[in-house]
Parts: sequence; C-alpha cells; structure tokens
Amino acid sequence: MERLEEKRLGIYRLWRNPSIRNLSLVLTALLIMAVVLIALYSHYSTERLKKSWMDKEAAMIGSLVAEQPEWAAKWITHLVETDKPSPESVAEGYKVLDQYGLTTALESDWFPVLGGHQSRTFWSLIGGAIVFMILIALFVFREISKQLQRIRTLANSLEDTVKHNQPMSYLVYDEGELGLLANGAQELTIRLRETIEQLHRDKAFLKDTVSDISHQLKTPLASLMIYIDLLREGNVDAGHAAEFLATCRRELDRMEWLTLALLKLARLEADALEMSMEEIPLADTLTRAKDSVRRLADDKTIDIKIEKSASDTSVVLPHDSHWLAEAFMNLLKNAIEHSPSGSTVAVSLENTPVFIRLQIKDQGPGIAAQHLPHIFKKFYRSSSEGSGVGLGLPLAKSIVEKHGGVLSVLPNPSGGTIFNIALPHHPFSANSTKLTKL
Amino acid sequence: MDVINVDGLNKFYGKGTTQVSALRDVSFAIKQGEFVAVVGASGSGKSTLLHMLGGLDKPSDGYVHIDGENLYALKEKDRAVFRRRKIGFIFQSYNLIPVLNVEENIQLPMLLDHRQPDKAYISDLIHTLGLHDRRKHLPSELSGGQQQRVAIGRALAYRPAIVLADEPTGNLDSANGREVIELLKLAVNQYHQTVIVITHDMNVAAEADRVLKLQDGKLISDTSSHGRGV
Repeated sequence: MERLEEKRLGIYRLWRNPSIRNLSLVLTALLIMAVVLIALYSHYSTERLKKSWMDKEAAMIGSLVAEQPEWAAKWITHLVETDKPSPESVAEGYKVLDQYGLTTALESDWFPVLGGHQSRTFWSLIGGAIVFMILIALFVFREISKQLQRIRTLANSLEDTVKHNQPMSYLVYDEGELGLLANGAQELTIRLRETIEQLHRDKAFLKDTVSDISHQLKTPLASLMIYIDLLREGNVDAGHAAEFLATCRRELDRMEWLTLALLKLARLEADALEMSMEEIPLADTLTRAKDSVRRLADDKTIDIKIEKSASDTSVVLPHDSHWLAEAFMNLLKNAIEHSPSGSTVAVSLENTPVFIRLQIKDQGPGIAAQHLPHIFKKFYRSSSEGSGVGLGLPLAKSIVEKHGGVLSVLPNPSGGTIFNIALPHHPFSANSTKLTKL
Repeated sequence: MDVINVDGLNKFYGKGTTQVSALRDVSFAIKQGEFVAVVGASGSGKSTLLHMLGGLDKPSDGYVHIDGENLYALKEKDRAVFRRRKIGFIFQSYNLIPVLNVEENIQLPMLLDHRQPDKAYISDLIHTLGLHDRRKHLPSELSGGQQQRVAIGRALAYRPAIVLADEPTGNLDSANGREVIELLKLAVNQYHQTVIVITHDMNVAAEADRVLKLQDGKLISDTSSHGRGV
C-alpha cells in the first residue's frame, strides 16, 4: 500500500542501493588508477623520446666533430639557442630537407626517432584501454550477476513458499529497491499463508459450530423424547402429565433460545453479517436493552440504574442499534443473574477523545481470577448460577468487536464485576485491515 | 503460528566476579495476535528482554527467532531496517521528536524508509487516536495521554506485526493508561497484531491474554496461553 515516493528514481534513492554504491566505488577506484597510470606512462614515454632524440643528436655531433669540428660548434650553438628561429631560416631549412625527401607529408613511421614513438604510444594506449574496459566490464558484470543471483534466490524462495506454504526462507532486509521488492514479496507470501490459515480456521470453526449445536441440542432432545413417549403410552396421571408438558415447554424454550443464540454467534463470527451503522444516541440503544431485561430484573427486585452520564442523548455514535442492544442486553442479563436480590446494577458512560466507554457494574460475588481468562469462551460457565449456557458473553464480545470496540472485564475493588465496553469514535476502517507483516 | 520464538536467552553484563546476569535461560514462544504482559520487579530483566525481542541489544547467548528469522544472525544494518519495518516501539517517556508535529511524528517510520505514507490510513489512524484536532500540534503542546497516543500512532504507522511497549502507562493516570491499553487491544483485534507490554500495573496485566513473570532474570511463571479465539 505504501507507494514509492516518485516514479523516477532520484539520485538519492538510487544511492540507497548497495549495488549502486559498490559500483560507484569501484568505478571511482578504477578512474583514479587510470589517471595515475596515464601520468606514469606519459612521463615514461616523454623520457624515452627525449633519450632517443638526444642519442640521435649526440651521434650527429659525434660524427661532425670528427670531420668538421667548427661546424659541430656552430651546430651546437644553434641547438642550444633559446631564441625563436627566424621564419626565413625555417623556410630555407625545409627547402633543403625537401630535397632529401624529408617533408611533413612523410609518414611519421619513416622518421627516425618519431617512428618508434608513435607505434609504441598507439599500442600502449590501446592495450591500456582494453585492460580497463575488461576490468570495468568484469566489475559491472559481477555486480549485475550478484543482483540477478539475489533475485533468482528470491524467486526460488517465493516459489517454495507458494508451493509448500512455508515461510520465506530468503529474506532481504536491505535498503534500496531490491530490499523493497523482497519486503513486498514477503508480505505477499505472509498474506497468502494468513489466508490459507484463515480458511483452515473457518473450516475448524464450522466443525466446532456444528458439534456445539448438536452437542447442546442432543440432551434436551433426548429428554423431550422420553417425556413424549411417556405421555403417549398414556399411563401417567393428569398431574404428572401437566408437569411433563411444562418441562417439555421449558426445554423447547431453551432449545429455541440456544438455537437462536448459536446462529447469531455463528453469523457474527463467520463475518456473514453486515452491521447497519446509524448515527443515533447510545442512550436509546441502552434503554432498548434495559427494557428487554426489565422482567428478569423485576423478578429479582434488582434496580438497573442508568447513570446520568449514560442517559445523555447527546452522546451519538455510529452503531447498529439492534445488535449493540443485544450485546448490552446479554451483559445486563449476566449482571442480573449474578447479583443478589435487591441489589443494584449500575450503568455509567464516559466520553473520552478516543472512546465512548460504558461500564456495567454489579454487586455480585465477582469473578474468580482463574475464570477471568475464559469467560468469553463459548459454553464456559464459571458457576451453576444463571440460566445461561455460556453464550451471552461471547455473543456480546463478538458484537462489540464488530463495532471495532473492546469488551473487557475489570476487577472491581469494591466487590462485584465491571464489564467495560470501549467503543471508539472512529473505529479503524475495516478495509485497511492488512498490516505490514514480518 | 509462532511469531516470536525465544530460546535459551542469556544476557550478562560485566566479566568474571563482577558479572551480572540480566537474563538467565529464558525460553518461550508467542503466537500471532497474542496480547502478552511481561511483569516483574524492577531489575528483573523485563526491559532487557524487550530490547532483545526488538533487536536493540545483542544477547550473550541464545536465540530470538521472529517468524523463523534469527534476529541476531542479521547484520546490524539489516537489523535496523528489519526493526523499522516490522516492529513498533512504545516507550514510557513517549520519545517523540519535539520539532515535528503530531502527523509528522506518526509518519516518521515511513519517512525514514523514504516511502510515501498511505494518506488514507494515516488519517484514519489519527482519527481513531482522537488526535485529528491536534494533528498540527507539537508534542510540547500535548498532554501526556495525547503524547502517548501519538507514540501509539507512530508504532502502528507501518502496521508492524509486533508492537513492543515498555511501561506504556507508567507516566499516565489510570484513565489515560486504560485508554492506551484499550487502543493496543483494538490493534490486536483489528490487525491481529502481536503486542508485548512490560508493566508494573496489575490492571494492565489482568487484561492480557497471557502474563510472563520474570524474577532475577528468570522466567518464573507463564500463565498458559489460552489463546484468543479466532
């Protein structure tokens, strides 16, 4: 999801690539080497030219001294003269030289001293250039093949990951473009693995749900069958028959509730449900939940006290009123069931910059520490109290999480239990659920 | 799957008779999406452990594997990149850059990596953190709770798989501390992130899926992970 800063690679971005850095270093080193070698060679070649020229002059003077000593002296005077020769004498000289075939048009190779110098310079420079080209080519090839090798390893490891569903065996934590590519590939494989794992989890979830439902329904079904068989046989007196029928009715009610709750939970957990979010006061939803548990509370003469903060209709939050009321209802029901008769269940609300936090406090015995980690698990019951089968709290948790919130239970220092529902004003948007993984 | 695998971790400081061991033979594994609290008295090795998990300090002995990768087999340079991309840190003292505003502080890990932050995600994050009105403010203009929320934003900017928090509620009152923990739990729920929190606060520990207790550098208890549901 993170884009590269610009389409074209700037110098700075380019420089972050280790291969570019290596290459620049090697090329700079080669350049320095070339400059040094050229300096050395030009020095050597000049020295050599000087020597050949001096030899030639010396030989000439040597032979002149033997034959015409005064000419030799004149020759030397002219040779060491620093004044510029007059153009006339140069022209006169060329005329004489011309007669012997020594003209500027003549190939340099034919000149005595110059001849060797030219071919030597030519071959040395060609040789040097070839050596340098080969060196540069070698380094560039080495750097490229190193990069290609890494890409190849990356490709192989990617293939292994895709085929065998394993973690990537080759990880690059480099600066530069290859590092980013490797990072992207790695994220891709992790997402793939996540998806596969999610599929397995979904399958396991389906299996669990089916076995939960059948397990939970088997017992009441068996007892229903027994009662109905007894009634059908007809040798039960009227009093017992009425009692049996009442039991049947109770079992059926329980089965209905169970089936509904399990279906709700299954739909929530399978993400098969879209919440229809509406900007409405949270207080309305709370009242709705309170109304649906009123009878239960009245039976135990428990007062559900919605504190002023929680009945403030100006606190508006986008939520699905139907489902969130269901969550509140389950939490209230749980609180009522675990409260002694005549006590109070208090609901308070706190509005922070991040969350709207609802707390449901009861005056019951509280939840023992060893049960705390498990109370949101399906069919987990910390005590035999309450009519529930252990679906209310998991249902509430699922609903709160569907709203992007957190449901947790806090120990209450003054006794009882506090259920804490934190609903963010701005939940993380559901479509950005992907994270940069390992 | 195990995201973190710690095996026989030892850390010694000093040499010979003056040697002090900060961690002794600590081993455990953490699953993805777990919310883990590390508790223990001061000097029990909690922070040392967190530094090892985050690749900030080399262990004397033992391994830290993160999703199968041996963290300390990486070169120092590569480890820095790994840290930047994969791990979010939250500290007790917030550690925000004072001259950068809220938005810039949050985007810092991505800017360091020369990536263009995903504008929509960052804006979403700032909204969730309740910092929208304050996004142009400097850290010095914010309360402690707000600063820590910025730090959470920075830790989540890269959506790292692992968030390491060292006493994130240490400098906060209980209301702000609660908020920090709830935000971290939100991250676990939403992004299936793995969060490891060092804490003194038993209320924080009570909210964790799992509590690791250290004493004198040894792991003395590990409430068996009951695992979060799927």
